This record gives sequence, C-alpha cells and structure tokens, in this order.
Amino acid sequence: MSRSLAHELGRYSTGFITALVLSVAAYQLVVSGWVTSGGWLAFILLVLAAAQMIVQVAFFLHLRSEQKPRWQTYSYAFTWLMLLVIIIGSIWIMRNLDYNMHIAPEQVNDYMLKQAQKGF
Amino acid sequence: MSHSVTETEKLDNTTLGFWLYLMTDIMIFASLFATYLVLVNATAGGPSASDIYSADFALLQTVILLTSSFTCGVSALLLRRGKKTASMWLLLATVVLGAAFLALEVFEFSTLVSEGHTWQTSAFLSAFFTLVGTHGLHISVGLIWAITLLVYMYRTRIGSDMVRKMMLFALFWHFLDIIWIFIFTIVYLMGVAS
Repeated sequence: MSRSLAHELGRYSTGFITALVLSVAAYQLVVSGWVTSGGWLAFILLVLAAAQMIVQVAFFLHLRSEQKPRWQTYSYAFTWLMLLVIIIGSIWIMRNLDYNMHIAPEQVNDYMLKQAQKGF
Repeated sequence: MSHSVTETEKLDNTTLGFWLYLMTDIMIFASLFATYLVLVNATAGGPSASDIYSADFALLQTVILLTSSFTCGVSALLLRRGKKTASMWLLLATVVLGAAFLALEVFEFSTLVSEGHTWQTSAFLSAFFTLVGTHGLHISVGLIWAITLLVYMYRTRIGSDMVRKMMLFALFWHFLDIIWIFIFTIVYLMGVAS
C-alpha cells in the first residue's frame, strides 16, 4: 500500500504530461485544419476530451487501483446515466421540436408582437 | 460493541457527502452543456461562436488550469506524507494559477461586453455566459476555499483533519479541471472549428 513518494510523484507527472499532450493535440487538430469533415473533427475532439477525463480520473483522483466502497461505484454509474439522459435527451427533443415546427422567423416575430400586445 | 465514531467512519461520511455534492454539481453542468448545445446556433443576428473565440487564448487558460490541478494534487500528496511546508507552497502555487485563470476569464468577458456582445445579445451568448460563468463562479469559490485552507494550515498542527480538508479541496479542484476540459472542447475548440 505505502508506495514511495518518488513513485507517486512520477504517477502524477505522467498524468499531467499526458493530459497536456492531449490538450495540445486537440488544439493543433483545430488550428491546423487537417480534418476537413466537421462531423469527424467533433467526434475526434470528443474522444480526446473523454481520454483526458479518464487520464485525470485515473492519475489524479486515484479512482483506478484501490478497492472503493460499493456506493461510490453505484453513484458514479447513476451519475453517468443521468448525464446521458440530460444531454442526449435535451438535444434529441429540441432537434425534433425544431424539425416539427417549421416556422419562418417573420412568423415568430409576428407571434411575439401579438403576445406582447396582449400583455404577459 | 462501542459506537464511538472512529476517524475512518468520519472520513467516509464526509467523503460520501462531498461525493454526492459533486454528483449533483455535475447535473448542473450537464444541464448547462445541454442548453448551450441546443442554443449554440441561435445567434439572433449577433456574433456566432467562430467570431468571438480564440483557440490560443483557450489553450492558455487550459494549460494554466491543468498546471494548477497538478500542483494541487501534489500538494495533497505531500500533506499525506507529513510534509506540511512543501504542501503549503504548492497550494499557494495553485491559488496563484487559479487566480491567473480567473483573471483571463474576466478579461475575456469584459472584452466581449465592451464590444457589445453581452448575455442580452442572443440566446447563444446567454448560454455561453451562463455555462462558462458558472464554472468561473466555482473557481472563485475554490480560490476562497484554498486561501482559508492555507490560513488554517499555517495556524494549525498537522493532523488527520487537515489531511481530510486538503483531500476534499483537491477533489473539488480536479473536478473543476475535468469540467473545464469539456468547456475547452465543446465551447471553444468546436466553436472555433464551426
């Protein structure tokens, strides 16, 4: 259990440098314009962000090696479920709404003016 | 069977409470990210994402915050090993780096506002200021926390209480850095690329 200080410092430094490399890689990818497809670029950027999150959780938060209590695992899994529901669910619903409500901007303007005249 | 609260039980309860707080805080950020992603194109004739972001500036902020996360982790590591003075120096470095990060963010916000791009301009800018501003608010609270922790460490002998306080602060600060990675990626990098 008790590892040497040098060993732990080395672990932190590895995590730090890896995170730094991932950040600069994501930056380079955007600035250089190597990837021309917007969808692929977004996908690669998200993968790099997820990789960096895993690196930081593993190297800085010590959630990798030691035995952790079961509630911690459950709350972690539950959080991920909620995150996906909130983010993917919102985007899905709003896109769908947008698609089903093809209103011209002028119509929206007229509608809002009428509402304003009625008083809120 | 005695029911006295042992040091480990106390640590576990505090960690549980703080962990639950962090999980709920993630919910706030998830909602704000979802709001931002939904509204990112609703510019209402104002500037779009690629008009106002600078990738260089965002990278500078990222490197500063990442370094502060590193110094904070090493500070907690040293305190667990009983090295209080070294730990305090690194915590001070964390505060200085965190303050530099916050100063850059305030500079960015004030530049945007002085150019007339405020949170009233469009739904996109409302979502942007709310998301990034909420993160900045957390950083500000973290800075106050770190400074009070420094004062406490200066005045108190090292003990398990001090290690616990430091551990919770380190958890909070690492959490903020992880949130920032996603702001850096989803808001700034994708904004510049769009």
